[in-house]
Amino acid sequence: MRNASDTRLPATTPAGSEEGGTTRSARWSRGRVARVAALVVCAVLVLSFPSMAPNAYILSAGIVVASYACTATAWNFMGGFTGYVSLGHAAFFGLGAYGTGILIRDLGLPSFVAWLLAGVLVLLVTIPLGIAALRVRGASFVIVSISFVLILLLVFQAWGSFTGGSDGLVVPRPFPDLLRPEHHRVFFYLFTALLAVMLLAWWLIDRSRFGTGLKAVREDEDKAQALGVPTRNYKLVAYVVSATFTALAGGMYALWFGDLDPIFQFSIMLGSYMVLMALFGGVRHLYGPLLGAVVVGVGLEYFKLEFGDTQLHLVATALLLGLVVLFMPDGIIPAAKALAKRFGPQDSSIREISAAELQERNLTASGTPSSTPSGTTTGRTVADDEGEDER
Amino acid sequence: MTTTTQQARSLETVGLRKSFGGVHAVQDATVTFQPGRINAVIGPNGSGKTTFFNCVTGMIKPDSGTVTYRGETITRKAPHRIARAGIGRSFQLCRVFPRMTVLENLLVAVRRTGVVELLAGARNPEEIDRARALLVRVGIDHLEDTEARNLSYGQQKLLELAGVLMADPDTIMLDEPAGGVNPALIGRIATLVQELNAEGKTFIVVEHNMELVMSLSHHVIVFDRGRPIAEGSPDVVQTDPRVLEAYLGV
Amino acid sequence: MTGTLLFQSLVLGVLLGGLYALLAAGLTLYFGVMRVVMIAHSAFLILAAYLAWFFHQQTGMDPLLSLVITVPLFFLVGVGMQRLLITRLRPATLTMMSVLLTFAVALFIEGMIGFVWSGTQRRIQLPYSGASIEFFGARIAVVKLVAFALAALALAGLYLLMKHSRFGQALRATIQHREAAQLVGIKTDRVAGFGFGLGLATAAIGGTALSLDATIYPSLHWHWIGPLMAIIVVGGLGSIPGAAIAAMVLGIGQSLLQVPLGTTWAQTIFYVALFATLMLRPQGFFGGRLAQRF
Repeated sequence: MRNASDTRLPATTPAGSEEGGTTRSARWSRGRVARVAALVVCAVLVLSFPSMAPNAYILSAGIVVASYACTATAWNFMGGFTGYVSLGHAAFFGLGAYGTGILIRDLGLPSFVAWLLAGVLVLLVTIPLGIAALRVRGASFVIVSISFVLILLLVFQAWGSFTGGSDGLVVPRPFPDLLRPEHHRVFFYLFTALLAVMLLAWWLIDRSRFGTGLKAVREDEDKAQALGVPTRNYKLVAYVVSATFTALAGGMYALWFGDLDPIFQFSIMLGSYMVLMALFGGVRHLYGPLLGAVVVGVGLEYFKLEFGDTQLHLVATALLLGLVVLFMPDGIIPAAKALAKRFGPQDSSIREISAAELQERNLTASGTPSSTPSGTTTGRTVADDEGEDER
Repeated sequence: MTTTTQQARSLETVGLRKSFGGVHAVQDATVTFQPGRINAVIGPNGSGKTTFFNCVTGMIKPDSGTVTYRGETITRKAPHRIARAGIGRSFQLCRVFPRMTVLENLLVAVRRTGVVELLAGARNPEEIDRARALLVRVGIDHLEDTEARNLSYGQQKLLELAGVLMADPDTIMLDEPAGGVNPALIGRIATLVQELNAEGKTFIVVEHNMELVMSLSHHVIVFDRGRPIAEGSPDVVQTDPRVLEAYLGV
Repeated sequence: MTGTLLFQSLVLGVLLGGLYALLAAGLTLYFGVMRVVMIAHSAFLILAAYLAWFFHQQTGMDPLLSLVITVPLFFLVGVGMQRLLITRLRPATLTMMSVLLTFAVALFIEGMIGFVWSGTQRRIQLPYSGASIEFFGARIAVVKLVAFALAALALAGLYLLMKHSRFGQALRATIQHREAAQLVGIKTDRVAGFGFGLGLATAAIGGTALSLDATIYPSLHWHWIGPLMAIIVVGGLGSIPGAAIAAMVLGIGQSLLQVPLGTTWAQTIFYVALFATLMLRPQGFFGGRLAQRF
């Protein structure tokens, strides 16, 4: 058995890890090329969708899916990074939508100025809301988030003189001269642009130090705090960013659709779609919510077309959500990766698992009880075997 | 070093109290830890050691009493502020970030302020070098890219210790560092603690393993039923009748 | 506000609070035994109300008699739900995922009710629907009294069961400290299943009581879950007496506010109370101390 001072000798391990580093970066750049290529292909496909769409109905369904992708990605700033599940993000969607509409109606602001201003207003409103909501964790937070939607639904229905109540609120179109298909086309691109901004922001946070702190909150909040991460402020920022992007998506929807009703804007369903789509795709992944939105969103639109306006879409959503929660809580991206791993044994991501397995094997070989093995017993062996793996 | 600066550097609590419902977990805990040394907190199960720890590190808000560190009051401060003041801690049942890699686990502990610094990439080469050096030091550097949940319990303990060190604290509070760990690893952890102490770190260790406590620590504080009942060097404490009474229930 | 009107609102508030208390007790049970926030509780409530209405529609008998079927049925469904769904979740993420799972159950029930009985509003017409009695100058509808009596009886039964039966002891032990309960030989899994069953049974009783007096429609459950959730947070998650007290206080508050503000705004009292609780005492006002962690 080695002792602690042994481990600090400049032994084989640093060299081994350096070597691992070079191969890693080489492989990474190959992966990067593939990733960029895939991204370009996807972007081209998405951008050419409006010209490929056979009719206005399909095009408008595409816009709905794009708006789902926006909301699910916006939701994932909170849900994915911090692990706090908000079932009430529709509150921010509705606030953004109504904010935009009311600012245009009452102040006569240009459409997109009103849109941005509504986003800023929601940002400001979310700060005190977030401070209140983030005083609790877990299930209590979910309760609070649902209550946001329910309370706003009540208020917006009751306060008819200001919000239009159940009669609805008509939002003037930003481009009155455009014909309907053209109008759809423009909004498809606007939603896509908004989505691109969100994805970029998510990616930036994901790789940043701030993102590391947020992910630590998701893993173990107390531990993160004990290591000096100001978890409250981190969560608050994530929450505000998430809410603001959701509001911008809502405002965009208002400008596109032109008619708001509290029942639809402050709807529990809308919030649950965000959760379902993000979970379905995988909340730990940049494209998870987008993927979920495309699959689930297309499914929902198809369902609406096929079965009309029945209650069955609730049942379908419920079943899908239940299945995801029970069997694939990490989403399809990891599930697909695991599948690929099973059928493609040379996949690079297997390395981690093999290290763990090797450890196990070495442990049993060395006779150390597996609950309390010493890292060093197996240390060198694992490093060596890994080296072989790389070559 | 004069007495005054030594006192200003130390961690002390005055009249700390915490009760849960009707249970007085900690009562009237007035304790001064010696800076630059290895302090041990011992006591029978349920004597309030962990609650005391949690009150000091801000995880639990005490009902009354004060905690001062280097002359500054840190009572009821948020845990991250206490951590940033220079007090690092481990948890009773070792806690790591299970779905982050070993390296990422350490990067969490790097102190950041300001928007620019926060939005910069997490994989800063200097920080990674420092993290790797710490991993080498505790002996798990070969597991750098492994997710923490795939580590053995002993490796997780070492990772947790490395994480605490990454935040570069002056005072390190360890809650049962030898709990659930095999004898060889206990030896390693003890050696690490001694080396770090020689480098100037103050240690406060809650531990049940008496052999370890007696061989490792310079100063021992004994808790019973929520309050400190005796303190002194290991030899003195070992023979103190109050301590024997607390342990044997005479 | 005249004295009579005030008194009338107060009495109505108590009657409403009784129903809230029963339902909140059910929610607290689930949370107690499994750390599960059961979003579907109020969906089951509405389902029970629909079953009572359907029973009355088909047989012409008093909807109260439907309890004979719904209570055992819901109890079994509750046990089944705990055994087949909740225990499948990973312990590490149980609390969060169970919220989503029960949310899915709520949506499922809402959708199925709408599919089977359509979205039309329903109301039971009984011979005594219009009847009311004078009570110190306040006019109280008989159906409200019946509903309250039902809720009060069920709560009293629940209290006796919890306090004086072996099963109740096991249940309370499981709620307080699951591992310790296991150590003294309590089969906590089975107890948790029964706890779930009991919780759903309260929804069956509450739903039947509700059906006497309310117009029901599939999405009605959202109007109940919000207030109920607020009640259990204000009461401190995990404390049945806390939930009952909070239910009474907020039920009376809602009823009193209805006179000057109208029904819609009066409902906001629950959310105001919820936010006040979060800002002032996140652990709840009445005893429970689990809220912050779960």
